[in-house]
Amino acid sequence: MTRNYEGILWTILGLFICLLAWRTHFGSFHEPGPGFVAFFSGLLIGGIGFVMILSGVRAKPSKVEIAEVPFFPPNWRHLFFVMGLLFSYTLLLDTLGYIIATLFMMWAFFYVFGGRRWLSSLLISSFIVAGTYIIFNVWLLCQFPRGIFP
Amino acid sequence: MDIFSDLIYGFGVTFQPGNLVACFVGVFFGTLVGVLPGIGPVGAMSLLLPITFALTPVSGIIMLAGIYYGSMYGGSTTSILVNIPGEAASVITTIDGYQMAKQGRAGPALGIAAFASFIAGTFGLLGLMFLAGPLAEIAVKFGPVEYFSLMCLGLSLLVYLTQGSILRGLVMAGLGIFLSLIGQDIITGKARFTFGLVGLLDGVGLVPVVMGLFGISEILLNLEKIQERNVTSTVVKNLLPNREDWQKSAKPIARGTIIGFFLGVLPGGGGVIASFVSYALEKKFSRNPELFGTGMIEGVAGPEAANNSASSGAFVPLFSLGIPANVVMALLLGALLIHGVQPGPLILVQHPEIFWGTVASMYVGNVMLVVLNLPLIGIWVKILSVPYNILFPLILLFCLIGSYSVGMNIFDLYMMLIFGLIGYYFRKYKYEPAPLVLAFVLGPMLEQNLRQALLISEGSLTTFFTRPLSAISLGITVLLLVSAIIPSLQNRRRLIVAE
Repeated sequence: MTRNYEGILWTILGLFICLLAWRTHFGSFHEPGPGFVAFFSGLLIGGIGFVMILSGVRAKPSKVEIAEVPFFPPNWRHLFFVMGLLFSYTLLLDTLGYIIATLFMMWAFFYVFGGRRWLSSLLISSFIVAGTYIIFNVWLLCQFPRGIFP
Repeated sequence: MDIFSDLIYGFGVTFQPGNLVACFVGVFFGTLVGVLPGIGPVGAMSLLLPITFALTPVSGIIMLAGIYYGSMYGGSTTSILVNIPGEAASVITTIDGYQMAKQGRAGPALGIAAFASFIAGTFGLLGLMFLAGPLAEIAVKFGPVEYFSLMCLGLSLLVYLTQGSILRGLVMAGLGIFLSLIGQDIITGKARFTFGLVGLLDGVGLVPVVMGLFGISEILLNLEKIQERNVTSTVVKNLLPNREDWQKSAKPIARGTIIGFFLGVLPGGGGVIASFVSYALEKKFSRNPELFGTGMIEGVAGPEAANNSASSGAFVPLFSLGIPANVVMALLLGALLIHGVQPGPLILVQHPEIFWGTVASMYVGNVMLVVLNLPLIGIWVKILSVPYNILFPLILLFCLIGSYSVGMNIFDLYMMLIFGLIGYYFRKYKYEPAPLVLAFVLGPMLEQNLRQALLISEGSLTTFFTRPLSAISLGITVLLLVSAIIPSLQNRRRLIVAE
């Protein structure tokens, strides 16, 4: 990402934070309000963004910046799969419960990334779910969602 | 003599069965985390942080501290055997350590790394014992003005010493401060920046932020190029260094211990910088600097001593001032606050069992680590052979469990995943997450001290410059930030960081 794009992003974000902080009640130097420190954090971010824009305008494009880091990596499917699985897990955790949701998630990971057969992936996942359930839910009293189980 | 009677009290606390077990669990997981690339001490501490809720504050802090200095030990194993650093402070050990392993001298390399870490860790603890108390006595006289200025200094030092652009570091610090302010205002109780989301009323959780930025993002980055790990096939033997090895390593260990301790005390310092500085120093002192990189034992002994000594030194500002010196200490600070303990100069008076228990546990932990790292080296080698595509789903699961167990709240999982994705892109575009996390932890204290200082001074900013310590701290802060803008000083900083 070139300096200009970064600078614009941070300048806009900084201004947004300053606006939010001002509306939250900036207060005064005599009596700082809830938005006081946030306003200055927004000012810092926006100010740095502005400096980035200026330095981007003045500087010659370097070889590094010309070869930009791609937003989507070559193996973007892996990224999408992993994040998609994690978000789906989170979405269904309350409904299905820890045991079922985690079993499906781990099975999917081992089957797709582990290069294992579906049965061995399922067995390993079952072992892991059982182990983590005993350690965290039973011993450490962390209350996992029960989901479909009563 | 008071110090020694306090230390004996500390040993009494440490040798309680629960605390002894917590120490062992901490150093064991710390070693494991150090051995396995892909999750560092920060991620591991945030994973185990929810477990500490079931423990007493003493046991919890002992365990978390154990993970920190344990990971320093474990990181050297994978650096020497696989040429992949288990965590950042062991990067420099790969240079000569792996070469020694290739020459069939993996045993002495591992042995000297373990012994150097033990010796340095022990002396570092002596420094902690003798420095924390007097510093705490001075710090009792500090007011909100001094605390605000010291926090600004600590933050700016970390930003200055972070790899990469200082401007990006400053942006991250600003973001961290803003994120820390989400939730309820500490003075008025008014909700702010929550966008109507009930889940944000209590603010953004530390654990989801850290796990997302360090745990999830690290996995997403590693998935781009799953590394093949070729463990050195040499049979690891002769773990005890011989006389010649000791003669060569004695002075590097001594130098590394001193450098590491003082760099660890410095806000923004830590094991990474300490190990790099130690290596550079050993090269300068050596009669054969051209041989560094070919398997010089001094290149292992010095840096390993430095990074362990730094881990002890980092506790000094945390316990005596309540200001974390680095991200790991910031997480420990967060853990102390979650347990209802306010770190700072009064901790030695109000919670002596936490300070002296932790100090004594580090002595015990260092002994445990020598035992864990040397005889059990075969087990660590086997663990290194576990393929990453089996390992990362487990790490993801522990991140999910860890985030959920803090508040039993699905919202925290969403926060962790969002920060994971954000952290992934931050690191791709060379934005270091460390300044964000440090600012996030310091943010509420920064705000509280600033607002108190302004209320007391009736809005006058001169109070920050009329008090000597505050003036010096802010002066250095401004100098560091100005160097971000002046090109010639920018180049000098790049040289310092690159060296």
